[in-house]
Amino acid sequence: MRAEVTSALGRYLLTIADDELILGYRDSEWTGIAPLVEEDVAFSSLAQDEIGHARLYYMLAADLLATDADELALGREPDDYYHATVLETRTTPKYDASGAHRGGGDWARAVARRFLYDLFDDLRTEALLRSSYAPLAGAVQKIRREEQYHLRHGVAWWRALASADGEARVRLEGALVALWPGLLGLFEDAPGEDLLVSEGLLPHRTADLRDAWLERVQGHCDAAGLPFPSERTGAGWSIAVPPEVGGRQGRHGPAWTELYDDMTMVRRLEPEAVW
Amino acid sequence: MRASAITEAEIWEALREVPDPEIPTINVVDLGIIRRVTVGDPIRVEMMPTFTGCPAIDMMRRDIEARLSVFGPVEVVVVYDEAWTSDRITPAGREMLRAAELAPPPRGGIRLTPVRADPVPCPYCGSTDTQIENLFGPTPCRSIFYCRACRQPFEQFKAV
Repeated sequence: MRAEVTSALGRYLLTIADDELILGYRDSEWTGIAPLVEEDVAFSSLAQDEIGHARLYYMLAADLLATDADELALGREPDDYYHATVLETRTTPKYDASGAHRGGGDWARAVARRFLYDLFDDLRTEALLRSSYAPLAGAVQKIRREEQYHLRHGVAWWRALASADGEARVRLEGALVALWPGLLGLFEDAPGEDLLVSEGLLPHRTADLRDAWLERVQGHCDAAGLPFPSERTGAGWSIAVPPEVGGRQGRHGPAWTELYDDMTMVRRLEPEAVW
Repeated sequence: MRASAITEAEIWEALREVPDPEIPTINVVDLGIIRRVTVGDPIRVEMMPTFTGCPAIDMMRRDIEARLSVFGPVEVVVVYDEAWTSDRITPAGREMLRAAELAPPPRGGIRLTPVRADPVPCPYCGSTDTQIENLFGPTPCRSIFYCRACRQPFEQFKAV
């Protein structure tokens, strides 16, 4: 592989790994405070799976970028992380050292974000099965088996909240509207994707997955009687809101500063610690 | 040197003495996570993790290296280019899971919910009057069930 291709593939793998790590980290914050004890277990397990997937993608990236997975996961500067910004926001109440939780938690937003991200990730990994880079194609084959449990869990909660009367339904509708620009930001390309497509390492660009995702999300909205935030036009889709982009370039919001400080705290205190 | 005198069968036999750190009734061979053993210098062992996020991967790698070190230098390579599936657990391994009071996974790959034709028997009383409580459990590889006959929750090793 030519040096520029190796570096573009490494960069692209970081995008996926960062998505998985950051969503895993944020979802792990529900451990102990989810609305049901069953969901304490489920969300913790989902988060653990995603962090495991992140580790595998970091290992693949580390081989290409001549570094190690721990360094990639926890040793970069904040603007060298490439996850979509929608994944970095907190959905749990903020813990305060005094023991009093501040408000702001939203289970419906956590459920909607996880399910709609998983629908995106399912399309992404399905495409990566056809990558000519064998270690990546093999890794996603493994990851996709585990993700079937995630999709099953996601659709069950999507239906449960949508079919509930009152606050659950209202919150899910609100979450869909609030998350929509950020979810569209998932489809921002990483630099170098054109090169990876022309070299056969990716079957198509991340942006090309968007219409298939809109189609699937619309199906789930229709099935649950939820308002779908975009409109289908003759040949494509009418998107009223601009996507929230920048994450794939390393530009993030204030939630990331807070999360980065938490996430890298042990690493900064004890650089030799392993995870 | 010693490495030239040992056989692959001896290595496999020694690997059967390396237990899973979470489920010590089963060993790494019957769990189906050893893909290949190559006798040489070093001895090379290919290991397939059950679940990607399993925190026991590094521990198992160290345990294997420690057990085989009597034969000479050992290299354990964790491979991800082929997916481990629960169908790799041997028939003896399924009994070893039962000995740990875990229901073995259904055969035939992923099954997200139990079906009437192939119920999940309770590992305590054997009743098939059981129901799934949670697809997720205390580790990535387990689901939680409830036995209506003996009124006992139990865990199943997930099909994947």
